[in-house]
This record gives sequence, structure tokens and C-alpha cells, in this order.
Amino acid sequence: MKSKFRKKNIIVRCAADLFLPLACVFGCYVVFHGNTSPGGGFQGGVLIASAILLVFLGYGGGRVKGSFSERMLHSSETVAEIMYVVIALIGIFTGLNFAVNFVFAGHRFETSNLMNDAVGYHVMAGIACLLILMLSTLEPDEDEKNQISAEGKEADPK
Amino acid sequence: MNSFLQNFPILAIMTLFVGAFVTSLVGRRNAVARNVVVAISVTGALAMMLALIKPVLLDGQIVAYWLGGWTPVEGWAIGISLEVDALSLFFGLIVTVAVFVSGIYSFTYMNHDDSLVNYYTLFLMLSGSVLGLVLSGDLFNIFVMIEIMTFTAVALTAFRTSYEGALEGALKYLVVGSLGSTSVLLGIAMIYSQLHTLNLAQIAALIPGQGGNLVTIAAFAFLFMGFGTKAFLFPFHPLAADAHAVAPASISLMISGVLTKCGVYGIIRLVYVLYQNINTPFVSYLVTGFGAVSMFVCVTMAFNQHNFKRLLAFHSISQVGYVITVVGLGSALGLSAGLYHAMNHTIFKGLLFLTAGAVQHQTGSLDLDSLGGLSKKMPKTTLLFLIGAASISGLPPFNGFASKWLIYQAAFLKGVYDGNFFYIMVAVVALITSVLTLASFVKVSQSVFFGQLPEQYREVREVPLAMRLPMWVLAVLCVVTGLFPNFVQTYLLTPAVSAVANLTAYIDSAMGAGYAAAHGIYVSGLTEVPITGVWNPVSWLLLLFCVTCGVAIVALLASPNDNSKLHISSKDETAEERDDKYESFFSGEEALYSQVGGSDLFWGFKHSWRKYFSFMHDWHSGIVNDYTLYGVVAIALVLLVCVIVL
Amino acid sequence: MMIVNFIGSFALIVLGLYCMVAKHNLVKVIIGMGLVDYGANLLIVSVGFHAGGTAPIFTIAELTRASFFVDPVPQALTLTSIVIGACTTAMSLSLVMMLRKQYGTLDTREIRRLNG
Repeated sequence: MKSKFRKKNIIVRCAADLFLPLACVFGCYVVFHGNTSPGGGFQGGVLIASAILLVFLGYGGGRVKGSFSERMLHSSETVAEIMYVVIALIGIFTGLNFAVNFVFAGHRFETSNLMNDAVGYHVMAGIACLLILMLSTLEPDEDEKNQISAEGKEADPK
Repeated sequence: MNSFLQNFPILAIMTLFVGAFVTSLVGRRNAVARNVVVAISVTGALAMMLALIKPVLLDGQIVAYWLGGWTPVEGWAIGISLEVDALSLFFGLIVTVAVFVSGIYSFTYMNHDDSLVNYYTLFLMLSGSVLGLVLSGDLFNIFVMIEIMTFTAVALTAFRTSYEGALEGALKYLVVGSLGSTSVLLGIAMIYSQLHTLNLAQIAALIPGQGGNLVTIAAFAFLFMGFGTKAFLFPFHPLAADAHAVAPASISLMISGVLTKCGVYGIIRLVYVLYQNINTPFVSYLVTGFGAVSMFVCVTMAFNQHNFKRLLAFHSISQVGYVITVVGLGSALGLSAGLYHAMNHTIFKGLLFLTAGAVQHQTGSLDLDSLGGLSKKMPKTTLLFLIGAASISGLPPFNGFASKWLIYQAAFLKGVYDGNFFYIMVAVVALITSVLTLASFVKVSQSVFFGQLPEQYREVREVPLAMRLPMWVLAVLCVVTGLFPNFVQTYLLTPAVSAVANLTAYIDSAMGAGYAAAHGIYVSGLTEVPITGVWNPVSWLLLLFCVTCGVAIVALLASPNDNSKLHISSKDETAEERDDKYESFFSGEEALYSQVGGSDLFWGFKHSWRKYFSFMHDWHSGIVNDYTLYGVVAIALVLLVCVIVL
Repeated sequence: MMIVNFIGSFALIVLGLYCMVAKHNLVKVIIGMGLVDYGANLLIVSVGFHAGGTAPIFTIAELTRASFFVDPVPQALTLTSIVIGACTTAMSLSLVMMLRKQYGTLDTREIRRLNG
């Protein structure tokens, strides 16, 4: 009885399915419009990364570990940092200053857009990494224990 | 100036930061690639700083670089800038040389540890942030760089988590260090509320017009104490000792040689450039007083230590105290002596920390009581240590002598010309501190490198060449800068001091020509840059008299008129009181093992000062609340006194 | 009107400092650090406030001299400083976790192996 009560509710799972794309899209919106509207790379990145929490609520910690690779996120973080610096450095190689607005001078679209996107990417990867680390310290709940023991039994005969 | 050279400051900072990121990307699997990236980054940053010597130090140009091309609009600096004058470049050179040496040393020194990719990432970020701090032209960026510097330094202090006390030292550093960061942040907020700008040059132009505005004065107190925390001045010195003792030796070099220099740089910028109030007697007393107290307290604290690196840490703060002392004098001679000693401190203290690291790497121990006689097994390291010890104690052929000589001169001349007894006392304290430093290093060399070799260190071998090479670089620098002080004076110190003196150029190069004159800034009080070797026999006679008085006072304090006198002769002691360790001094070789431990060499001195030492020992309780309390009290007192007096 | 904010921010700072000095539990010390940070952030935001100013957002309308914003620079500073404060807290908490494993206590009076 207790395990049935603990089972992931279908409503939670459906809501997670529904809001997952919304969270991602809204996060991307905030990142891409960062230089002209409230928010920016940092806030948008956090919004996207918080989608992991939706996965956790809907499907449990095991699914989170299965779906996201912490190592991959760690590398993405580094790549984003390098991207930011390289975009800023292009200014120098075009003969102007560091972080100068080199594309479309006079337009709405600026270097700061690209740098903002790099920041968003970086924050998304970083916060996601932190969240996964944090979730992995939690105790696995009943469902997952059953699942793990079932997997163990399957693996035993070998 | 060649326009591409203008990009070198930002490129040097970015080389270190990108190096950090690339290291964490490629270094996870491939150790060779990681080392290559680290070597390229540190060498690249050093090369770019060296390339700037010609235009900035020799030709006296100032690089004002606006990120993103956001130059000032209608006299308001809206962008973020890097402003490199000779003072910044001087500190930048110190930083990059120390980073280079520390990076090369780490390759061999850290080979017993794992997860080295994190170590190098943090190390390069620390280097980049420190370089960014000294080259920045923007007050808020200085705060951000201070924070990055504190984080990475804390993480690196705790890097060997299994080492006893590593986490504890790191936590104390973080908690008490956050007081300093918050203090800087409050100072910045107050300055911004009054002046609506964060650019250093514009602040320097606008502050004199503020007059007796209480908010900017409070901001001065906050900024001074914030930078003082980063230089580990007097009430904050325990956290430096804790952090140094447990950090890896290459990081100890960074903390002592580079991080404290950031505090020194901040204080110089603050009192000479931003507020230009160093000629106010009160500010001079404040800065000099803090420096003098920290140099004396820390050198006496070093007597009590049993850990090699903790002892070196206290000496490190003591030497920074010298620098701050003479910086506070407000004379050109004092400033050049301070800069000279700051440079020398990085060199010789780095050398000493690296030798301590070599001893730790080979023996696994830093305990002064258990080590001994290593000169038979590690003769080259011993030689390097002796060079470093002679330098820090101020023995003539080495660089410590040259800069300490300038320091005594500067303090004493200021006292004589102003007729002020305070500065003469400062000179005497500096001399006594130097004597105590020498005594302390006699103790270290006796208990680590000479004497009897303990049984368990029979198999110790010399460190590999890759570790000796960085030490040799520093040792050669010790000798070279000591032998040619005129060369150093001409090419490094004089440009830096004249850059500080020439405030108008600093403001105008950032804000556009004529900006300084429009705000009534012409030239600060520092106009004349003197040459080494000012000689006035009468002054030196007076100084000799003062030293004699000081020695007499010490002798009288230690005079054995109470019944607690120690009897040195062994015949009226009972057998239980006798300790075999002292027998080698007084009689034949009765005891087989006669090594004198770290605490025993100066036991007479320590016995006569036992009340002072036991007070200081209790005062450094190791409880983080107490250290925070000292810091808060110091900040509050300085704030109160500044607001009342200024 | 802003005087309330200034008093509030300094009250927060003083409370945080009291927490850091008087409390012997490491977690409380770190809460004190956080309070000091929040006080400083509140001070900076209040510094940049102008009564009646709009939010400093680059909207569709062109920027003219008549547009009246609150000062955007302190807000950027505060954002940076908030992020830094969060990092400080996270880092110190992780250190506290490891300290607890090593020393078996959170009492600052017992975490004093480095002294003297």
C-alpha cells in the first residue's frame, strides 16, 4: 500500500511533460533577448537548467542520471567559456578593441548578443551540473530501489 | 605607441583565463597536453608583460584601454577600462614572474597528488585574476578580481583535503577574508553614491573636490581595511598563517608573493592616486602604524612556531609590514623603498617557500622538531635555502640588504626632517625586526638543515632538477637585484614612482587631455625621485644612539632581577630537570642524539619574554569567531578614527 | 525615503557581523556572512535609486535626454555581487560539510587545530 502511495503520480508526470518544453523555450527566449530586455544569459541559463528539476519530479532521480551526462555538461561549460573569450577576441583581430561590436555596426544585433548566448550556455551547463550533483546525493525513493534491485536480480545470473 | 601593443594587457589576462578553460577541457585524460597548455599560458603572459616594458617603463607611456571601445562620453567614463601605467606594470611583472616560477615548480612538486586538472584550472584562474586586478582601471573590476582571487586561493588551500588542517585553514581564510571583500564593496558603493563613477582616473580627479564629505572619508576607511585584509595586515595575519601552513608550497608562493602584493598595490593606489591624502599626517600615521605593528608582531610570532611553513608565513607578513610601513611615509624615497622591498619579498619568500616544499616533497614532514641534518642529503637545496635566508635577513650581498637599507633611510630621514620621533621609532622597530628575522632563520637552518640527521631520514635524496630549476631562477634574481640596485632603481623603481607622482598624466590618458586641469589636479606632492645612497653621518650617529637605547631597553626588560632566573650551568640542577638535549652545549657528548629542536635554540630569549609570548599564543586562539572579532574591531576603529580626524 | 533602506542595510550588516562573531555554530557563521552580503547589496541598489525613475530597459522607443531612468550601473553591480555571494555561500557550505566529516563537529571552539 505504501509503495503504491509513493508511486509517481500520473498528474505530476503529465505536468512535467507539458512544462518541460515550455521551460526550455522560455529560457531560450530570455537568453536570446538578454541584451535588450530584463534578464539575460544568467537568468535564462538558470531557467533552462531548472528543467532538470521537472524531469526529476516527473520521473525520479534514476531517469535524471540516465538522461544527462555530467561529463558532457562539464565540457560544455568549458566550451562556452572559451566561446565567450573567442567572440570577444575577434574584436582585437579585426583591429579594434577587445569585446568591440564587430558585426552589424549600428544594428540591433550586436556582439553582446553572441556573448550573452555564450553566457547563457555556460550558466545552463554549470547549473545543470550542480543540480545533477545535488540530486545524486538524495536517497533513492521506493520505486527506484525496487527498480535497482530488479536490475540486480537480472544481472545476477550472469 | 604601436597600436597592437595596446592589446597586450587584456591578451595577457585572457591568456591565463583561456589557459584555465582549455586545461579543464583537454587535461582530464592527457597529462602531457595539460602541462603543455599550462606552460604556454604562463610563458605567454610573462612574454606579453615583458613586451610592455619598453613603452611603459622606459618611455613612460600609459596604456588606457577601453573594452568594447566605450570611450568616455562628455567627461564621464561609462565603459570598463584597463589602465596600465608603470606602477601597474611593475606589479604585473612581479605577478607574472611568480606565476611562471610557481607553474614550472608545480609540474614536479604536485606529482604525488591526483585530480591535478582541477589544481591547474584553479591555479591559472588565480593568476589571471591577480593580473587583472593590478592592470584594471575600474574600481568594481578590482572587487570582482579580488573575489575570484579569494575563491581560487581558498579552493587551492583546501586542495589537499586529507592534509591535517587544510579545510580548517581554508574556511578561516574564506570567512575572515569575506570581511575584507565586503569592506571593499561597501567602499565602492559609497564612492559611487557620491561621485557616480567607478573609473579610477575619474575618481582621482573628482575626489579632491569633495573636501570633507563624510561618505567619501568612510569609503576611504573601508577601502583601506579591505585592501589591508588582502595584504594580511596586523589583525588579519592569523588567517595567512593558517592558509600558508596547509597549502601546497607552490600555492604558498602565490599567496605570499602575489596575493599580498595585490593588497599592497591597492593601498598604494588608494592613498597616492585616488585620495592623494598621503601627505596628511593622520593617513601617514595610520598606514605606517599598521605596517610597523604587523612587522613586529608577526616576527615575534614566528619564534613560537614548530611548522616550517607556518613560520615562513609569519615572516612573510612581517616583510609585507615593512612594505606598508615605508609606503605610508609619503616620500618618494619611501615609496621606491617599498616597491623595491615588495619585489624582493616575492623573490626571496618564494625561494624559501619552494625550499620548504622541496623538504616536504622529499621527507613528507614540515615539523621543525623532527627534521634535522638535511644538508648532508640535500646540499643543493640547503645552499638555495641559505641564499633565501640571507636575503630575508638583510645580509649585504643579497637583495634584502639593498631594500632594507633604503627602508631604514626613508623612515629615519622622514623622522629627522620632520622632527618627528614616531618615524625614528619606526626605523628602530624595523631594525629590531630585521635582527629577529635573522635570529629566526638561524633557528630554522639549524633545526632543518644542520645538526644531526634523524634515523628515519637516512634515505632522503636530493630533489629533481625540475624542482631545483625554478629555485635557481629565484636565487639568481636574489643575487642580481642585490648586486645592482642602481640598475633596478633606474629601470624599475624610478618609472613606477614617477608614474605615481605624475597624477595628471594618469588622469588625462584615460579621460582625455585637460581633464585633470579642469578639476584642479596638477601634480601631487611627490615630485623628486632620489637616488640610492643618501648619506648623512649625523643622522646615522643618531640612529646608532637610538638602536643602543633600544637594545638597552630590551636588555633591561630581560634583566634577571627576579627569582625566575634560569640557571644555565648544569651543576645546581637536579637530575630530573636536566634535559639531554642541552648537554651538547655545556658538556661532553653524554647523549647520543643531540639535535636541538625548533623550540629550543632561543629558549633563553623566549623565557625572558614568556609573558608576551604566552599572551600572543592565547590571542591566536584558532577560533574563527575571535579572528572575525579582531577584524571587525579593527575596521570599526579605523572607520571611527577616520571620520573623526579627516 | 531611501533613508529607511540605508538604515536597513546597515542593520543587516551589523546583525550579520554579530552572527559571525557571537555564534559558535559554523552554519550560523555562514548565515552571518550571507546577511552581511545582503546588507551590502541592499545598500548598492538603494544608492542607484531615483524617485520616479523607470526601469533601465532598452525598449523600442529611442533613447533621449528626457528619458528618466534609475541608475542601471548599481543594479548590474548588485547582480554581480549577488552571484558572488551565492558562490561564497556554496563554497563555504561545502567546506563545512567536509569539515564535519573530518572533525565530527560544527563547533568553532573545537575546530582550532591551527593555533598559536
